Amino acid sequence: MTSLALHGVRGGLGRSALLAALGYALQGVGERVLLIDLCPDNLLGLHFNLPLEAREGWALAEREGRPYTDAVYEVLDGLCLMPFGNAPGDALHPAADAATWAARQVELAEHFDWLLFDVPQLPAATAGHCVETDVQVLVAEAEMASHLLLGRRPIERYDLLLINRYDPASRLQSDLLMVWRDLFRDRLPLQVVHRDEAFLEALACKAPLGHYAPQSLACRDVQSLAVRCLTRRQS
Amino acid sequence: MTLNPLSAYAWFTTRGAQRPVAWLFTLGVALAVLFLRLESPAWQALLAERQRLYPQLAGKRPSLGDPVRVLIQSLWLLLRRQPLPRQPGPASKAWRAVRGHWHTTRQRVQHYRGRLIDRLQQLPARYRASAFKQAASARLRGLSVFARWAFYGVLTLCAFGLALLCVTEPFGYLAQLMFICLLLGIAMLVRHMPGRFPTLMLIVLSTIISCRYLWWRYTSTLNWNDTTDLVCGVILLAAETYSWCVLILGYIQTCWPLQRKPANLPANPGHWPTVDLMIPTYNEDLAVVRTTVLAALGLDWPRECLRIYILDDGRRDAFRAFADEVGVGYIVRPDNKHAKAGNLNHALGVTDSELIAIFDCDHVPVRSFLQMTVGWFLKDPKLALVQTPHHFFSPDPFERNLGSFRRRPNEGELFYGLIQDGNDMWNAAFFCGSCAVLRRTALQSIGGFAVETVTEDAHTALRMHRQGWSSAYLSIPQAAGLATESLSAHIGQRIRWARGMVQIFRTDNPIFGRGLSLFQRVCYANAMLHFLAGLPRLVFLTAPLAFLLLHAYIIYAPALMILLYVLPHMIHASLTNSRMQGKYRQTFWGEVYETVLAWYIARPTTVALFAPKKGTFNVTAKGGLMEQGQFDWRIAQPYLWLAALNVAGLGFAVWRLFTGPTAEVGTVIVSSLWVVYNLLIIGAAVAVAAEVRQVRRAHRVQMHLPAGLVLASGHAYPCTLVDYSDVGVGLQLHQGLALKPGAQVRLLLNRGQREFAFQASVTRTVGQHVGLVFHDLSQQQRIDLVHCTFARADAWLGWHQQHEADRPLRSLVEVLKLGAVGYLRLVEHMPPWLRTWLRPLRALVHWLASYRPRTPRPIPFMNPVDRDA
Repeated sequence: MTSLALHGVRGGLGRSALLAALGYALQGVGERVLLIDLCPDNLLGLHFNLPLEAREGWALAEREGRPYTDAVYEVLDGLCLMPFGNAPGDALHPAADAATWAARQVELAEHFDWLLFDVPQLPAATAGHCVETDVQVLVAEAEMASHLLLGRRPIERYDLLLINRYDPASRLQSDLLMVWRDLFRDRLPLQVVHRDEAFLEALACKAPLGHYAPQSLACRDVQSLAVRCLTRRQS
Repeated sequence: MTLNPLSAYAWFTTRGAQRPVAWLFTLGVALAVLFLRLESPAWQALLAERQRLYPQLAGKRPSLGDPVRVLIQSLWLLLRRQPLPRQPGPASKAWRAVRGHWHTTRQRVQHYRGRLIDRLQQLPARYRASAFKQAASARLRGLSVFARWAFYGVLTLCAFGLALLCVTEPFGYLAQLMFICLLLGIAMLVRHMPGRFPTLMLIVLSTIISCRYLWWRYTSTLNWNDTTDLVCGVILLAAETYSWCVLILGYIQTCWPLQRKPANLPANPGHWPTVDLMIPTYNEDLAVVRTTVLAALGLDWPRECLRIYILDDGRRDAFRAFADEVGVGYIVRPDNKHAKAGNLNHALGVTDSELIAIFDCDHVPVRSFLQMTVGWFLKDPKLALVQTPHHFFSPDPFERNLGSFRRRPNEGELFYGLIQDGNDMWNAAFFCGSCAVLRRTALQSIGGFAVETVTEDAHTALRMHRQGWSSAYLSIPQAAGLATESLSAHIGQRIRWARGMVQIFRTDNPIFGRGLSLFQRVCYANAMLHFLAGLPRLVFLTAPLAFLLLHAYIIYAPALMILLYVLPHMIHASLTNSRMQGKYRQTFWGEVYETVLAWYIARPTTVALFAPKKGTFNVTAKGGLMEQGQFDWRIAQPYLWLAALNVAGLGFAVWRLFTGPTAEVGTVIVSSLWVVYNLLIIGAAVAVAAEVRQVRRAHRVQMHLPAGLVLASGHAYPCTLVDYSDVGVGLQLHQGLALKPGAQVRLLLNRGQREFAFQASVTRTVGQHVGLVFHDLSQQQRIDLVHCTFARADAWLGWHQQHEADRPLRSLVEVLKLGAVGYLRLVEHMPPWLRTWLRPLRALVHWLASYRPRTPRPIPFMNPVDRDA
C-alpha cells in the first residue's frame, strides 16, 4: 500500500480534480485505489458523480458513532471513494489528526494499493499535520505567487513538484519553468500537466478527467504522472 | 449446367461471337454432347467451376483462339497443384515423395549451414579466449626484438612468395577450377566471421584472384597477330587495369575505417575558442538561406564566441535586411572572382576568429554541431580541419526516380559513411566544401582557400596536408540539406567535381610533390582516379560488341577459360565489397550510379586531363520542384544509343550462332550474356532518367515526434508530428478528433525539456492526418521552430537503421529487374508518333499474352464436404 497526498503552495490550484484524475488513471493501470476526502468542503465526491445532496462520509459516520469505513463507495471495480460527509448546520468539524489516519492507513493497507488523500489547504506552517503519506506531491502553477510561496516552503519534504495548468505559449510560464528546473535541479523532480479546457469541463460533467476526455493532453499528462507514481509504489 | 446444342448457338451469338465462329463452336458442343459423358459428376463439377478455372474466358467475346486457350489452361491446371483435395495417383505420389525428399534435404542442409554459420560467428571470440592463442602470444612476447622481427620477416617473405606463385602460375582448366573453388570456399566461410581480421582475409583473397586475373590477361590473352584484335584488346585491358587499380587502392583506403568519436570540450565554456560561421551564397532563395541562418543562431555555443556571417556574392538587399533583422554579419565584396573560394577568402580577410565553420546555404546545422567538432581542435594543435557528413533530407534524383529513398543507402553514403572514415585512418580525410570546421592559422599558412581549380575544397585540404597539418572526420550527421532536384542538375554537379578533381590531379598531383605520406598519396590518388571512371565504363559497356560486330578477339582465350578467370575475380570483389561497404552501398548499385554518370564525365575529365586550365564553375541549383513527371530524353540519349548498339550486338550474336563456326559458339554465348548484362545495366540508367513528379516546393522530412495541439476552444490534445518543412508540418491525430481547414490552433513541440508553442492554422485534413502552416511567428519563434525540427541534435541519426541489409545476390537481381523496369518506363514515356508506330506490336504482344495460362483463384473458405453436398 502506498499513500499519496497533493499539497498546494496555495489554494485553488485544482488539486481535487487532479487527485480524481490520478485515481482514475491508477485504476486504469490495474491498481486498487481508495480516494479519501479530508476537506470539509466535501467536493471530491462530485468528481465521481455523487449526488449534490449526498451527506454520507467518514466524518459524519464518526460523529454518529459508526465506523468510518461505513462511508466507502465503490465507484468502479478497484476504485473506491470515501467522502468527507457533512452534517446539516454544523460548521465546526473535528480535525482528523495524523495519528488516527496513520492507524487507519495500516487497517486499509490490505484492501488497497493506493490511498490518495485530498488534504485541505492549510497555512504553510501547519501543512502536513492532518496526515502523513508515503508520497508527497507539491502542486504549483507557473506564476509569480507560486514562485514566491515556493521559496518559503521546505521543499525537501516533497517527492515531486507538479506544475498544473501549464501553457507553453506564455513567456512567463516557460521562463519560470526553466528557472525552477535550474533551481531544483537535483533536489526535486518536476512534472507538468498542461492547461486544458477538458479539466474544467470534467467537473461540470461530474466525471474524472480520464473518463470525460480520455484523449486530451491533460489526461495524457496525468497518465504519465500515474506511471511516475508507480515507480514509487511500495509493494 | 447442361449443355444443349440447340441453345448453344444463341448463347454464343449473344456474347458477341461472329457467325462462323458461333457455328463452329455449336458444332463442337454438339460433338461434345455426343461423345462425352457430360452428365457425369466430374464433368458437371468442372462445368460448374468454369468461371473460376478459366478466368481468361469469363466475360470474353468467344473467338477462334478460345479452344487453344482452353487447352493451354487445362494443361496448366493439370500441371499445377490444385487447391482442391484430389485423390493422388501413383505418379503424383512418387512426385510428392521426390518433392518431400528434396524439401527435407534442403531443410537439413539449411540447418547445418545455420549451425556452421553460428560456429563461424563465434570462432573469433573463441580463438581469442583459447589457450593456444595465449601460449602463442606469450611465446612471441618472450622473443627478443630482433628474433621477433626476423620471425615476422620470414613469415612475410613466405606469404609474399606464395602470393606471387598464386598470381603467376599458369593453370590448366582443372587446376584453375580447383584453385578458384578453394579460394571461394575459404571466402564463403570467412565472410560469416565477425571482426576486422576476416575482412582483411577477404581482401587478401580478392587481391590474389584479381592480380591473377590481370596477370593472365597481360600474359596470355592478347592476340599479337591481328591489328584489330590487338587494338580492341589493349583498350579493354587498359580499362580493366584502371578498374584493378581503383579496386586495390580502394581496399587500402577503406580496410580500416577509423570511426572517430567526438572529443570532449573543457568544462568551462570560457575556454572554448571563438568561431566564425560562414554561409556563402550566390543566387539561392532567401527561404533556403533563412533556415540555415536561424539554425546557426541557435547553436549550443557561448553567444560571445560565435559570429555568423552571410557571404552574399549576389549582393541582394533582401539578404542585407534579413541579416540586420536577425543580427548576423553580412559580407559582400567588390567582385565575384574565383566564385565560392574567392568569397571565403575575402571573408577571411575581414574576420578574426580562431576557427571557421563553413556551411553551404542549404545545409542546416543541428544545435550540437560545434560541441561535437571543436573538441578535436583543442586536443590536437596541428589539426586543421574537422569534416562531418553531408546528409540530405530530400531524395536525390536516383532515390526519387527509383523509389529507394530511406530504404537503401544513397549514392553519397559510401563516400561519407566509409571512404572518408577510411581516409581518416591515414590522416587523409579531406574538406568537402560544407559542414566543416577549419583552423584559421592553417588556412593562412597556405594562403587561403585554393582558387586554381573548380573543386577548391579538396585542393585546400591537399595543400594543408602538404604543409603538415592533419585532418579529422566525424561520421555523425550534424547538418542536413536538400539534394539536387533533377537528374541533369545532379549530373552537372558531378561533372564539376570530376573536372575539378582531375584538374588537381594534373596541376598538383598528390602522387608527387613533397609533404605527404605514402597512404595520403594513395587516398588522394584514389579519390581523383575514381572520377576517371567514365571512359573505362563506356569501354565495358561496348566491349562484347567488338567481338559480335567486328569479330575481334578482345580476350584471346577459350570461352570457358575466360569464365574461369573472370567470374571468380568478380565474385570475390563483390563479396569483399559487400562485406566492407554493404552498409553504405549495396552491391551492384555502384554500377548503376557509375553508368549514369559515365558518358557525361568521360569528356570533361578527358579534357581536363589534357588541358587542366579549361573549365568553368557552375553553381548547383537546389530547392526547386518538378511540375510533372517527365522523361529526360536529353540525359537518356547516349544510353539509348548504347542500348541500340547492344541490341544490334544481340542480333549479330544470333546470326553468328547459326552461321559461324562451331568452335565459336561458347564465345558467342559468353559475349551475349555480357551484352544482356550491359543492356540491363543501361536499362537501369535509363530508369533513372524518367523523372518523377515533385509536388511540394518545401520538401517535407518524415519524422515521428510526440507533439501537442491546443485548439482555439482551449482544449488540448496529444498528437504525433509525422512530417515537417520550414513552412508547415503534418500531424497524425487521435481517432475522434476532427478539425476543419482554416481552424486556428497552437502546436506544442518539445526540444529537450523545453516546450514551445507555435501559432498555426489548419490547411487540409485527410482522415486523421492534418496539415498545418505557421503564421505570425516572431523571430525568436522561428529560431525555436527550426530547433524543434531541422536542428534537433538527433534529427538525422539512425537513418541507416531503416536500410535493408545487403545481400549481393538479391541486390544483383534487383538491379537487373530495375534494368527491365527502365525499358518499360521508356515505353511509357514514348513520344506519340512512335507509339502509333508501335501499336501493332503491342497488339501482337497482348494477343499472345491472352494465351498465357492463369492460376485460378483459390476457393473461398469452404469445407469440401459441404461443397459436395
